Amino acid sequence: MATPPTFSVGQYNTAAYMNSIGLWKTGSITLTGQTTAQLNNCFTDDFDKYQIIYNLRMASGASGVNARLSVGGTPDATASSYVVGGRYVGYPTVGAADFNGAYTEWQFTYTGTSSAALSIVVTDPKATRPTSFAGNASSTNAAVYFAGYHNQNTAYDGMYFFNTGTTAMYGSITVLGIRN
Amino acid sequence: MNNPLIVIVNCLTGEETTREMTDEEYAAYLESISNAQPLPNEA
Repeated sequence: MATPPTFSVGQYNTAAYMNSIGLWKTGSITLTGQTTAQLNNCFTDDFDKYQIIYNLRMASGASGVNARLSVGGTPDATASSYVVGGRYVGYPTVGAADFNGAYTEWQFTYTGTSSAALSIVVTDPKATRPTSFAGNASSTNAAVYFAGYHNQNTAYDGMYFFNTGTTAMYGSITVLGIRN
Repeated sequence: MNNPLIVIVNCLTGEETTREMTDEEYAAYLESISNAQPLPNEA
């Protein structure tokens, strides 16, 4: 469940112990051949920082894995609202190059039929001010690190993931709230 | 031809649904990937 419980003193796991847990899973999704994924209500008022981790792979070929913030199940595709800078490093498939710009989505990695590893931190998605993020990802096709922000003053409760190749995806996405 | 699948989860309840994209969702998706950020080897 997305809302962390309050434990009572005297339980086997004490309140002090449980309430000190720094990461709380607020959402997860398993992909078993879908092309896109929509996580709703993974960002709550309980946390202002989140870590998102995924291991995604394509059924065939290789594709970019992109994401947008969403609210009420609707992804925000505002033009030039996802500002990002980063670098692809040294893999033959993609090459090494810096990138920066403002897009209609964040591009997290370029992934083939072996699972990519992604870890990003997202701050303030549920606040009515811009959302920042920083992270890195790798696969057998590319390694990339990046940081940026979303420039809309909107509170978001979810994320939408899609690949650029109309390909079935497999793996899972986990969202963790980070306790202050 | 069937549209690709989308999986949707409500993280508050854990309810997870897989269904075909609607025609409107699929059109928006195709537009998204046609305008997506290029990879370095595509730029």
